[in-house]
Amino acid sequence: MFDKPRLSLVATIIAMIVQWLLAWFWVPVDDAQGDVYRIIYLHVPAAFAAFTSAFVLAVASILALRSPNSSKLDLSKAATEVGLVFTILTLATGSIWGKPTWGTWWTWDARLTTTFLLALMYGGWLLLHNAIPEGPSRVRSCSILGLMIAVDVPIIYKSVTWWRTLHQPQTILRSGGSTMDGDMLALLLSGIAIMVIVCLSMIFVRRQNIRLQESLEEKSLRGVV
Amino acid sequence: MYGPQTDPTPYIAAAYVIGALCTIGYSYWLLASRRRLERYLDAMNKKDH
Amino acid sequence: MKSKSTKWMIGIVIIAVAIISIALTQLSSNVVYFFTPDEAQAKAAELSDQNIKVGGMVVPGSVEWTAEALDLAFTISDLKGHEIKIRHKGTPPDMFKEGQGVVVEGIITNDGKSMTSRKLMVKHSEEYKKPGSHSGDLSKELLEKSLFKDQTSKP
Repeated sequence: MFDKPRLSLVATIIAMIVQWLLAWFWVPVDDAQGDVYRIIYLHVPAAFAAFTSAFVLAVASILALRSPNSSKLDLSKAATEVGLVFTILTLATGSIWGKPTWGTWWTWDARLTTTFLLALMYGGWLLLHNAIPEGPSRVRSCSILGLMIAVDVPIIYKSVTWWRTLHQPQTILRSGGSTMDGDMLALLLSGIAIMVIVCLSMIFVRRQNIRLQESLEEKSLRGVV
Repeated sequence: MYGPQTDPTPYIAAAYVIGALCTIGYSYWLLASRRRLERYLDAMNKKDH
Repeated sequence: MKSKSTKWMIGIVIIAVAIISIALTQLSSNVVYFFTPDEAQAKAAELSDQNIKVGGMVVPGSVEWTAEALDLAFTISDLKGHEIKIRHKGTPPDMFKEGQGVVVEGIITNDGKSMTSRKLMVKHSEEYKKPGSHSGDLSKELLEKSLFKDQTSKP
């Protein structure tokens, strides 16, 4: 996954497509929600992928802060981009699922609001990175924002426990065991695992691309001079 | 039960189409960009020699 | 070039600050995202001019639905004896039914005994099971916990 991310990306995307087919055609329908609950097999893995990106961003930020003068933000930038994509996916699929079930596309409860903030911060990171010229100052500012983004994740996760929300409480990681039937749980857990690896693969491929781009720009500059 | 029940199909379809764009679409862009970048780098290296 | 990107940045920062302020003000007014029936009743007099949200369980046998006029009436309860009569206009969400969790957004009367609903949302449990499995009252138990945790008044 780390040294051959393009390979793991293609492999896990294929696994993901298989998981989706199982979600549409194999896994049983939900007694309470009917077929529309099948969105869970995309929505929850996407959320975990968004959280994974924040974790990678946190690690990359900490590493960068140790030596701001010599650090690069390639990994941070890749993690942020991928994180933004998955957070938008989480919000979109959540909203689409919410309309036929809760009866609303959106509400400002703690879970939805903190996730929305995550998307804003990921986007803000990219704008910040674009606005500050390269150098230790940019490394410091972006890395601090990266850590703030990471702090939002446990808040999002616990939001349904700490506050009253429209969003339902945790289904899997909860005391007393999960509230999901066997087949459904197995498909959901494997979906999460697959999407997390898709996410990591995307991040490392993106980082390689960023580095290639940088070396291209550097070479062309040298050519001109 | 209370009024007409909604058809879930468009919702499921919309969700997974967006899912495909974000995962398969983004991955396609990553791999296509990589091919393009490698071609440029190749061209650059050839020019030097 | 630099001043152009600076103006851009300032514009985006302003928009970002605006969006974040909206999100945070919404969140702070929604930190108590909904009142439980007893909480809403206790404060009904002071809340009766505001759009509030009350969460509760639909009392079995209380639902009256007139399809032609789209009139819906039902009672919500906190399972501890506090009930509020709700009037809503329009088709409820698919998952609305007796024993379901709901969050009603609207105006409560001074005495806290009834509410006119402007927006009716279903707050369902986190249980997922295939049809025919016998989980009994798990859903109800989960809903009760999620709806009425940290209820401020004691029964």
